[in-house]
Amino acid sequence: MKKALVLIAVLVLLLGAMGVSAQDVEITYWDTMNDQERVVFQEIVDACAADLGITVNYEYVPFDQAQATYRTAAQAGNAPDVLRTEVAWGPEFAAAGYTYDITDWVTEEERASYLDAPFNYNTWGGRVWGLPQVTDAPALLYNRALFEQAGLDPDVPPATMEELATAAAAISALGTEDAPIYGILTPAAAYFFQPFMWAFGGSLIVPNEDGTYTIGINSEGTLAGLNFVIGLLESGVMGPDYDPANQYGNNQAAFKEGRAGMLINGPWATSDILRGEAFTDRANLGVAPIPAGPEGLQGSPVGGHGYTIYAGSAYPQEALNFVRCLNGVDNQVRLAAELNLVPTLRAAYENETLAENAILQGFLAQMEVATNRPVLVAGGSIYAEFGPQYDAAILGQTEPQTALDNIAAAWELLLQNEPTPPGM
Amino acid sequence: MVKNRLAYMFIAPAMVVMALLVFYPLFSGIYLSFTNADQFNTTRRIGANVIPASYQFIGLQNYTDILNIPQYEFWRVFGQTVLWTGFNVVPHILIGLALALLLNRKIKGRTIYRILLILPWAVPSYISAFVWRFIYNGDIGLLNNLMRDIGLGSVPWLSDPGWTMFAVVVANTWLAIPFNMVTMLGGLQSISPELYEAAEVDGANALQKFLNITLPMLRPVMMTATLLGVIWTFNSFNVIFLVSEGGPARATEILATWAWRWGRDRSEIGIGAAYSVIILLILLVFSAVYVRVLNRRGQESAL
Repeated sequence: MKKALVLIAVLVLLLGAMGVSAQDVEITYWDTMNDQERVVFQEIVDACAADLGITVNYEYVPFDQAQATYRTAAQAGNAPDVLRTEVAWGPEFAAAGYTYDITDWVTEEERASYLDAPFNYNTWGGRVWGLPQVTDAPALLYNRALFEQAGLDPDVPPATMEELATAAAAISALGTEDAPIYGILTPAAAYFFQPFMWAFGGSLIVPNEDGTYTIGINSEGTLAGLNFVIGLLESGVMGPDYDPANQYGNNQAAFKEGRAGMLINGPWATSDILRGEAFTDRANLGVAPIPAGPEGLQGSPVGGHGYTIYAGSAYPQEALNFVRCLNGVDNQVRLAAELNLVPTLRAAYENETLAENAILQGFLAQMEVATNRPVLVAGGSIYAEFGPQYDAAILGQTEPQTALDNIAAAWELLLQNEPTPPGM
Repeated sequence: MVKNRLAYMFIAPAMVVMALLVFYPLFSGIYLSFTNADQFNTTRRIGANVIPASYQFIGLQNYTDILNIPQYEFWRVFGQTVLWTGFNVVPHILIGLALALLLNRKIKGRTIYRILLILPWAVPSYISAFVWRFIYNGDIGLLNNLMRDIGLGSVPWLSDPGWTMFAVVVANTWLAIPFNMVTMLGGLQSISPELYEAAEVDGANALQKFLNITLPMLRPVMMTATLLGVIWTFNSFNVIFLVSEGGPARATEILATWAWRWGRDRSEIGIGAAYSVIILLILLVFSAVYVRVLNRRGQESAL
């Protein structure tokens, strides 16, 4: 009798303790993944919440508004415990004191389990501020059926910018006046112009050996890249007409409907593209590295997203455990297999299912020749000027060289205000 | 004071709310415009850490920078704001007046027409704005599809500075008409019918009645509607922000959206605040001059 009572008391205590730890931990996670991606990710979040016995508020913030929304929330003290942070935002959030310094919690072993480049994007000032979820770089996506119709070999995608222009001309010749077919879709924003910039020898902001930076946006190479894109537009093989507010969506629609031969976009766009009528057979989607310029140069912006933890989180340790669960090898493999997202964990690449995913393999080939950007606080702000000036040049409102000089002038101010990491 | 104690007590709650919601933000905004505040030096409450503000008073520097440094594009955006306001307010008043005149007659189904014309007002403006944005889409938009079908070819609604200004003005006019129509209708209905009867006895025709009775009697209402229209349009954020996003390449950016770009998108809080104060000053000066001109003409405005 006495024993039974003790047993019951112990059980009650245990359950009570579990109840407290499980019920009280509540983590808010802001996701920026697109609609198709979130269908899969919801399941991963639910599974992790159940595994860890915590409550997770899974909330969606549109990617293009997340940076400014998070700033405001973080300043006021009510930011989410975990944010899916684009690589360019990390240093800014760290410098402003919004994100939690997790350096001491990330062991050497954990650090080594990630690929170097994506992990590096989550560091700033020698400290660790997040763990990388996915890495990415826009690649050349193409419609294999249209390639065949145009007499091109879909197994040999264009390798040089010259071949790209020829292929685009051949594909756009398939269209009629009433039903035009675009050889290649106009880069939807400055971000998607960058591969052309690097291919022709241009650059963004390049670190020097002495710790200073050189602005390469108004160099001859960038100008050549910009003029190449404008030339394609003027020759009529690139389309539709540039509509800055709608271009990204219009490009996706045209490509999905089979009205365009080629598109430059990243892995995140593929789950949407595969819903299009032209790609009901997913084998019709070709993915290849973006062609090289006249000097053989090649590039594409390495981006990606990490998980950062809010410095004001009541449960930073639990939040990190939640992130580790989301970032488990099985989950990364699942994102790669189902959504063609590029893993950041070395172990994920050992999984054999990845080799069967031709789309993912195409992006991996692009990653080999992609360009890492310097990890700067200014990195989160460069497109505020780059974007509108690129639009103005593409629309013929500003001379290309003037537009590039305007960007350089704005970036000089940005670099002057670059905060120094503490302790450096 | 003692005699009016009850009255003071009645207005006290309203004054407290005004102080909190209007005066505090207004004065803190004015103060911030004289500082170098940005996201790295303003107060941050992050969990247990409260990082105090460390921004500094820099006098008029934000203002001189805005006026002098080309990167802030003040004069260009100011010019666009003036054009935007002018292109909007004139048709708002004229179309509002025309519709009010039509609806002020005894016609069949007048109530239904009135309800239909009020509709744009009832729809949340951001929803209308997104619908307009879809209508104007260059590649798959409703309007361009229609134009191509009838053989007119597509128009760069949101890709050409001139067309885009036209497009956002049309969208905003569509949204503004109900208010102006209702205001004008109210003005028309307050004109005494006896005036028209007397004019008919004198043998005046419709045009004479309109010019000599309707317009003069409607003037106070029209002047007030114009003043409000200018202030609202000058500050109107939704249509520009949601339909054209200030583009293409900033060609339809107005001061209100431009202040937002600096204050929120770039977190240059001092510059954003200075832009807001500049908007306030422009509108204050405009209103003062406008009301004064009206009063000098001996017209009573409804303000």
